[in-house]
Parts: sequence; structure tokens; C-alpha cells
Amino acid sequence: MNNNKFNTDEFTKKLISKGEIQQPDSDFTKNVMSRILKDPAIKVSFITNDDKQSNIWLAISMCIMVVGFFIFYFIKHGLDFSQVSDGFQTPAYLSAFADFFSKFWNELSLSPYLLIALFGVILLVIMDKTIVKYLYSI
Amino acid sequence: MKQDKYYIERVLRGDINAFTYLVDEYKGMVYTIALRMLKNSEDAEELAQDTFVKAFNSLKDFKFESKFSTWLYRITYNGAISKLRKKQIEVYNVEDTVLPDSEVVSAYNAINELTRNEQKKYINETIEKLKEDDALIITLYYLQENTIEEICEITGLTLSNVKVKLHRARKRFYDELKIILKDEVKTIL
Repeated sequence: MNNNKFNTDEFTKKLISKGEIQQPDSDFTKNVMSRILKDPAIKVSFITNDDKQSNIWLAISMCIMVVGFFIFYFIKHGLDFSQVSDGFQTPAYLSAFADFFSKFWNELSLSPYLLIALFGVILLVIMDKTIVKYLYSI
Repeated sequence: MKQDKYYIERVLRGDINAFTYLVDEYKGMVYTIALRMLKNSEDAEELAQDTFVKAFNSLKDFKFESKFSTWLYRITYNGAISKLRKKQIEVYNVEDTVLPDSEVVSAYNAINELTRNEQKKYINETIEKLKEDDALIITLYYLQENTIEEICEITGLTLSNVKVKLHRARKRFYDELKIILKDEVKTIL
């Protein structure tokens, strides 16, 4: 041995780590959860409310996006209050909004593949939150 | 630790299924501790399940003053002690606990000559032959790498008590390993 102070601890750790942590049966977790869920005092909720703080920030950022888009639209197209239809005077802001939404829809121009993918993601999230959690707790 | 806290808070808010993360994370070590103490896989599995059920029911009382794992292993240890109280406690004489360096090195070299599966088999067999307290302390200190303070928290023993037990357990471990390896050499020859 080169070291004057022999490190028994270090050797023993290396030796014992060649053993392993034993594992119980493969359905151990399921059995534990079954015992817990059998307790009538336990109320099971499949969908939990996430932290509300993050939802507030989400709402704020969505509002900013919508307001921002409105501002962008009005800068780009301007406000036109001079439209008058046959027979009666259409409120100018209604025409402006109708015009806005048709242009907004055109500007989005999402390809059908994107829409399908988006729909698929939404469906998976819904399944995870509802069906999978319910199946796991049976 | 952060992840444990996140899942514990989710369980306390009503998401029972979040508890499965904690079960999956710690079931190995809880079962191993139970097995070291009770020496029987059926009893160990039952104790491990009881531990998690007790932990779930007491989760609201857990204040994050220690690691969740330390708290959980303490529940396991107390449960094992309750079961073992039914058995007669053996008292044995204080023996020589001097562990020569040469014994450690020769055991280490002998084990290194074996295949990975054989190493696992002999180490586990040796630990199983130890007394419950010895097997537990060896497992917690060397396999799980808990500190002495954490072992004190789990077992309720004093610092000096744990140090003495660790020292003795290590000596007994090497004595048992020597016997097992000698027996295996005899069967091969």
C-alpha cells in the first residue's frame, strides 16, 4: 500500500456497492395505491387545479397579444368610419370589426397540417388529464 | 429534494396519483431496509407497503425539517422494530472489533475476481447473514450513503452508538464474507 493511512471506509464502500438495492414485486406501487384508495376517507380528484398564479400570467400575456394585434391592425389598415350601407346606416364600428375579423382570419393562414397537429396535441392533453388518470386509479 | 416537495404538495392538494412518484422513487430502499431487518421477503414486502400507507396518512405532518427519505426510512425502521419485538432479542458478547487492513484488501481482491452477478450474490448473501441492526447500518451507510446524522435520525440511536455499531457491523461483514468465500472455494474444489 502506498498510502500510510489505509482507508477502510473507502474500500468497504466500493465492496458493498457491488451489492444492490433490492426491488419489491413489479406490482408493488399498484398494491400500495389500491390500499390507499380503498380508504373511504380519501377523496380522489382526477384533475387538479394547477397553481393559479401561472394562469394569471397566461391570461395577461394573451390579453397583451390580442391588444397588440389590434394595435398592429389599426396601424396597418387604419380606422374607417365612413361606411354607409343601402337603406340604413350601419354602425361604423360593426363594419370595422367585420372587416377586421375577415382580414385577421386571412392573416392567420394556418396550413391544414398545422391545424391537425394542434388538434392532436389538444386531444392528447385531454386524454392524459382525464382517461389515463382514471384508468391508473382502478 | 425539490421534486419530493413538489409531489408532496400536490398530494396534499388532492392529487392522490402524485404519490405514485414517491412510491416508485423510494420503494427499492424501503424494501431493502425491511428485508435487512426482517430477513424474509414476504414480511419485508408487507412492511414496505405498510410504510407507504403510514407515510401517506401522515404526510400532512411532514414539515420538511429533514429529507423525505430520512423520514420514510425512519417509519420503516420503527415498523421493523415493532415486528422484531415479538422475536427474542439475542445478546452477544462484545467481541474484538479490530479489522486488519490486510483482511479488507484480500476480501476486496477476492470479490473483484468474480463476475458481476457473483459479486452481487455474495455481497447480498453476506449482508443477509448479519444481524438486523448491522445489516441496516451497513446498507444505509455504504449502499445508500446516508450520513451518520441521518442514520441517527432514522434509527433514533445516538451518534456514538451508531459509530460503534457501524464499526462492529463492518467487522462482522468481513468475517461473514470470509466464511462465505471459503465455503464457495471448497465447493468448487
